[in-house]
Amino acid sequence: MIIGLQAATAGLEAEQVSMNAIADDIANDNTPGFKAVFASAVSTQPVSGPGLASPTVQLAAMPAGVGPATQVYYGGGAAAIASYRDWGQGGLTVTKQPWDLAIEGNGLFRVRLTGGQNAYTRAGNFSLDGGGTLVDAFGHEVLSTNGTPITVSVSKGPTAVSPDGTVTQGGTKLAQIGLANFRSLQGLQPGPDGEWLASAASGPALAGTAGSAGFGTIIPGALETSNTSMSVAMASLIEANSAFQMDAKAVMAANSMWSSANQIKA
Amino acid sequence: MVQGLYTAASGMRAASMQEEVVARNLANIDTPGYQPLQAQVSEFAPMMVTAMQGPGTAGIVQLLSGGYSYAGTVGATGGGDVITQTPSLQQNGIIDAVSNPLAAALTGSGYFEVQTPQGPRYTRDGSFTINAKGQLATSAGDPVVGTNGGPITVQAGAVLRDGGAVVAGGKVVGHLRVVTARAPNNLVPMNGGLLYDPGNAGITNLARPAIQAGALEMPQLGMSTMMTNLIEAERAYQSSQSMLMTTDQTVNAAITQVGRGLA
Repeated sequence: MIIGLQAATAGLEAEQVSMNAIADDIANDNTPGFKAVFASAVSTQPVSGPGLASPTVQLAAMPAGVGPATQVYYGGGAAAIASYRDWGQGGLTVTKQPWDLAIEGNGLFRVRLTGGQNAYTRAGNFSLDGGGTLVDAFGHEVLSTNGTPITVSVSKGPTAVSPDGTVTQGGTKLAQIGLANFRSLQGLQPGPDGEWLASAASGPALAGTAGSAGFGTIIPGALETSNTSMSVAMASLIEANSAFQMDAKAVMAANSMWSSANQIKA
Repeated sequence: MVQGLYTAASGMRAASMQEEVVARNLANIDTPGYQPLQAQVSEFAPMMVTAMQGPGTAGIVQLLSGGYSYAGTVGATGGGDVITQTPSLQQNGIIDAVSNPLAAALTGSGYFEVQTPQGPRYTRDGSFTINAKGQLATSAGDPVVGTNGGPITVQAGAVLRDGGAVVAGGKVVGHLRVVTARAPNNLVPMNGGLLYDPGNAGITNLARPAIQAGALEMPQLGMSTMMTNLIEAERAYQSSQSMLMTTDQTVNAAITQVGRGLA
């Protein structure tokens, strides 16, 4: 029963992680470039022991066909593990804002954090800062294919971004917005402001340009919406909630059994 | 020795283990590829109880110590019950379509093979992704074994096809290996939803595995059955506990009341 209590508690924790992931998905339903996350659980090692319990009975009296070597397994719950992120394409919304860029296909924009570290994002709601540098929604510099920030002098006329990420002003090429991809997108670590950081699990960033093999194209004047599916999120929430309640029932059953055991007195 | 106490205690232990099995199943209701355990309760063989009676009865043997013993039997008494086996349910689960294009659900029997630092392991959990080495791997990062006996190396954008073919860049780069176990209950459950073959599970390759791509197998656990099992275990435990206390009262009565008669 104490083992059952631990198993049920592990189940409660796994469902809690699942509910947190669903809450994250629902909360970010309106976040550009957000990728839905699904918590996944694996079963943990159960407790095992020989299928023999009574101290009064010799092996010869074991039920037919059962030897002392039969292992029984009980307890051991579930553990929530690194959740799966759906890197599938989100929808596109036309905003007609000149610096709103959406990637249709593979790849992430490269940005530089305040500390100089590189980060990656699918959120293309960019703008120019006071100095004419292209920055993302959190003020981090958007990098070109050369890994340098992109600066525009607004006074020199209107700018345009082509599907391969080339930024032109009055027909002159200023820079090309760089993209990056990874061997394992699941291995990316969440960084500040919803941006992504490379890790040992993701492998190093593989730089590339929009429109080249393995990369998508850039659509100017549009934003990629969150790929959260509200119907899936709601169904998962109901499922996680029911499972949580059932695990709670198992905790209560163990508690009641323990209380019965406590009533035995010499 | 008072046999009744041990019979009741074995009932409590069996009910407690039954509850622990149900708790494990409930905790894994959302675990892909989890095969629920079943608690199989068996009764110990009944044993004969011999009686001691006073002198003058047929069959009485006078002992050297001066007491009397009688070889006749009163009847059978139960030895209680025990959980003898906890086999995993060898039934197919519910196939759930997911957004992961590399997810694989086994719609028939068998297990995927996984390469871990500790050696080969088996699982029905097909929530596969690509690891940092560019290999098709479990969610823990261990490579999945292909039909060629090694990991399947893929690029980003790879997809799985029904039947287990892994397609990257329009080309088939590998096939998932699926094995079956002749004695699946000899497989030892480990952490991470992995199963270990201690050498007697009878692992053989499966030629044409039934794999559905982009889906996961979820355990088929009837909610009402689970709740009934839980209540059953809880009540069986309480009944055995009452029996233990009743036996204790009987023994107590024997000591205090019969003893008083002797004094």
